[in-house]
Amino acid sequence: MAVNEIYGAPSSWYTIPRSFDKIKIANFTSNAASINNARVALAMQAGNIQPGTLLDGSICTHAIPATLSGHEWNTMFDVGGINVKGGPDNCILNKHFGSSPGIIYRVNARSSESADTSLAQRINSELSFNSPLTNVYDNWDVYRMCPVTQIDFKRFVFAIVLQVCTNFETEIDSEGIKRRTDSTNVPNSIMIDLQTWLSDMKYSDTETFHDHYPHICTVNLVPLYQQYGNTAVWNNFSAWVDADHRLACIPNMNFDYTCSGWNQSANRCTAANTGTPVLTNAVSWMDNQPISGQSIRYTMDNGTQTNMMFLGDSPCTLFTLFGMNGGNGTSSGIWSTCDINSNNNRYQVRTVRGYSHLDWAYTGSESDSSRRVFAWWRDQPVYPAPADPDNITPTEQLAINAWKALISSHIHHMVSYTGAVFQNSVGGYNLNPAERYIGLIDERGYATGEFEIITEDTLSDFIQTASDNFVDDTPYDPASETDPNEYSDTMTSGDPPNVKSCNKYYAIDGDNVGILYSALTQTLDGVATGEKEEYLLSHFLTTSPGDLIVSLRWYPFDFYDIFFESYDVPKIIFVGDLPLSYNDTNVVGYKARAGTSFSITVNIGSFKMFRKWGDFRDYSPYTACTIYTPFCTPIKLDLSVCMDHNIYVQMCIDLLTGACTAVIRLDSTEGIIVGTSSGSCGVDLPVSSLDQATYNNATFSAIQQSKSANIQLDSQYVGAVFSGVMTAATAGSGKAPMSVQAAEAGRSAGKGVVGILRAWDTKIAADYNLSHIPEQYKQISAVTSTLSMLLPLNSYAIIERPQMLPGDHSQYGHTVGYKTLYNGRLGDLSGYTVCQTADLSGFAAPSSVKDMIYQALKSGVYV
Amino acid sequence: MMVTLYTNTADVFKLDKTAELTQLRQAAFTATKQITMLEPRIDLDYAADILSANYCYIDIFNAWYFIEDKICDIGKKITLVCSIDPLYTFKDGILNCNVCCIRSESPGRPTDVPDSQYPVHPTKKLTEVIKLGTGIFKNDPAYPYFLTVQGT
Repeated sequence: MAVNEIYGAPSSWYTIPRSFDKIKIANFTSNAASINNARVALAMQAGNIQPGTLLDGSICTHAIPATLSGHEWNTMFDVGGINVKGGPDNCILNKHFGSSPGIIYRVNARSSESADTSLAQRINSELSFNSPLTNVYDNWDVYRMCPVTQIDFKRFVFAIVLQVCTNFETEIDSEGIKRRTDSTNVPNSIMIDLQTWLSDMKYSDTETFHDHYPHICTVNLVPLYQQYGNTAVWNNFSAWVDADHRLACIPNMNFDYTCSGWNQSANRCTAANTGTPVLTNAVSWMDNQPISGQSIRYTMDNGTQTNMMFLGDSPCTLFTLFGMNGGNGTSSGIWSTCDINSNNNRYQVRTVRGYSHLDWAYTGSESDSSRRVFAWWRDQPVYPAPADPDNITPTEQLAINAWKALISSHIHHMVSYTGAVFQNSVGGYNLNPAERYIGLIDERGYATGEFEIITEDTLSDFIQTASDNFVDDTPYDPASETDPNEYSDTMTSGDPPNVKSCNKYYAIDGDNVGILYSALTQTLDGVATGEKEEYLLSHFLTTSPGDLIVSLRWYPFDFYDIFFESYDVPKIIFVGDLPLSYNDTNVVGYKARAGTSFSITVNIGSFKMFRKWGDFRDYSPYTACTIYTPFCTPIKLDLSVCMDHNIYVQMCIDLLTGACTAVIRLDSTEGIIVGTSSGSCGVDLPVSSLDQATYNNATFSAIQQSKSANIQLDSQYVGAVFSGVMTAATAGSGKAPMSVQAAEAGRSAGKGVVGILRAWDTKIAADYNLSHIPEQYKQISAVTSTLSMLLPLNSYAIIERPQMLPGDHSQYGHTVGYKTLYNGRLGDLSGYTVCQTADLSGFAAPSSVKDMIYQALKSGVYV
Repeated sequence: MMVTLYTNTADVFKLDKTAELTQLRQAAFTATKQITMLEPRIDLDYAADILSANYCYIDIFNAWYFIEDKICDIGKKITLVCSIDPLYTFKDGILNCNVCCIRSESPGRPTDVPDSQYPVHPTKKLTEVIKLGTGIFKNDPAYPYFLTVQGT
């Protein structure tokens, strides 16, 4: 079975003529009565309707070939994908209809702490939910149903199906499910007053279904199992509930009971048990249970009575009824009453004590993929059974056809009362039905009993319900024409933020900016004093101060007073831990304290927009008003909003970025904002900084190299002379004469000369390098255009008003008439009047005359 | 049957022409042939002032008529060719009717309803400039600079 099958509908229906608000809920009146298990399914299935009259007087309509399958709902939800969320605590579906999610209702367990939940078994099912309800005595708690997701209903509704498993025979009528004994209702024994139950059913902690989900109504509230006359402990009851028990009489089409912890043998519980019968996954069970060839066994215990009420079967099926007396397999007329229709279909059996089981065999041939449920429908016409089903006369066939058509129509309307979606086709699993019937609900969400046939193409044209958001606690109610919005006449501004920042912010004057520039570009070249060299070397040999400058920006207004205190004094500006200075002059500025907010709103000014003409000429397109604020794009006012109002102009400025926003407000500085425009009022100044670390480093290195070269050269000189002196000093000692010594010295000097020349070359190279160290600059901060400074720095309102064409227009009214839209009595007007329409009733005149009058009024008359 | 002759100087489309009607004479006539209510033709004996009449009232119809044409006939007869004036005839009923009026002289001046026919100059505009506030922005070099430096 596909994951998205909808099932969960029990075996019979009871129609509520109108919407759910007619269902009441009441308390149990008997301690002995219990509802052992229940399932509330949020689904509706229409199916084959069974014919005939049951012993309790209710009439079942006959099954009709056209299967009205509740899973049309599924198909509706099948669009868009379905995700089933499992989990023991909820059966949640996320169904989509069209592009909208769906509402799935989850029933929470009883909140009572005394509830015994151990006997219950939860069953997950798509689009329905099983609540492991425990035994409920005397009081039926209100179950909370929580919307999980949301479905665009498109004017269809869910039907809530309540299945209960009781230990008493039940009767259903418009008052609810009642306890019934021996064909009569026990007085004051309404077991489940469905109206109250539903109306009190909550979908949240504070909201009830009734208030917010008017489209939900119950269609089927049926006890699944009844045990006539047995008020004993439900031990016995449970003993009769086994896997073979069926309720709806269509074999294999009933919900299966599983017995938790019971001994089971051959689909039969062999021993009484205190277990609570649970309702299994009907659809999956049905999927697994082929219809044909399987028997049904209703097992009864000795000493009790059993009344199994069920509906007749499909006209397509036949089944046999076997009665076993003590299990010996013989048929002995064991049932005290048994209604059998002319098709030999037994649809109600009331047994007496002493019989072990009743076996029902099913020989149906319909597809096991069909789903059937049944509706109890009082006062429905009985199926006109033919005398001989194998030889149906034309007259009989006509009657049958007419009956089917009538039933179909009734079914459609019945379903329409729920607003449910249903499909009239055989083989209800068709996920792409040719047509669907959709019950219609009115604007309040109540079913109307009418339905509409739609196709796939027109499905999406259905009007959505008034509110798609079912969790909206204050939905807009068009009927009452109330607007729940809370209006305010003011738009309060925010406070400037005090954001933490790792930067330092200074306000500096123009003179200090000059010193700053010098400080950022100073080099070792041309060093005037050793102090400066030492300063630069000690501070900027490895760091360029420009690397630590983020931005320098000028503003056309004095922000001293805004962001700095009057008692602040200027301080030396440090980059990192290095003070900025040039030629012993420090760069100083006022430092903003940590946490200062650098954005502010200033009020520029205001004016009142007055009318001049007092008529249409004061508005667009004749009159226009533009607000010019500096640095921002001019803002054009909507005069239909602004006329006769005071207009306030503000400017929000951010010192950190230079951005500004002009804001136009109505009537006050906190009034409604009617226009904004953004721009930039800060002028970013390009700051060039020398890469002093690199440059100074290179310079220092070059100086060192130059010094080394000079030292080397000098040493060469000294070496050469020194060797010559030594030679001369040895002349008197019989050595060669000076010239010879000089020659020797020259030889030495030859080496010395070469050395000197080489050292000279090195010195030249070092000096060259020192004087040719490239200055590498970098630019800090962007370049901002200062064009905006050339435009007006004041704010202005520029109003353009129309002028009239030259000439005398005093007769315009008398000849053309002033444009107006007046509805009323013609005699209340005067002068030239042109009418668009007129109601010429109230006086007698020939029609042609009235036509002449009408035309005259349209062309213009003088009143 | 009586016909009352008038000279009418009011506009055709004026409802109440009373002030502009000047009675000339009353004349009796007999219906020598069919007379329709909407476009009667009345035969009268000649009288000079009949020819200056352009409006009349016919008592049997209780209606007012424009005299569209006058035909001088033999036997000193004048035939008046009339057409009904529906506005004056049914003035009271018309004035009591409910209408949707889109133009009227009644307001005396243009209204807030836009009127594309009103002789507003299509191009000329009067421009007014209002200075707002005293101006907080100035190109003053004395204003401080905002310096952002890394570090805390």
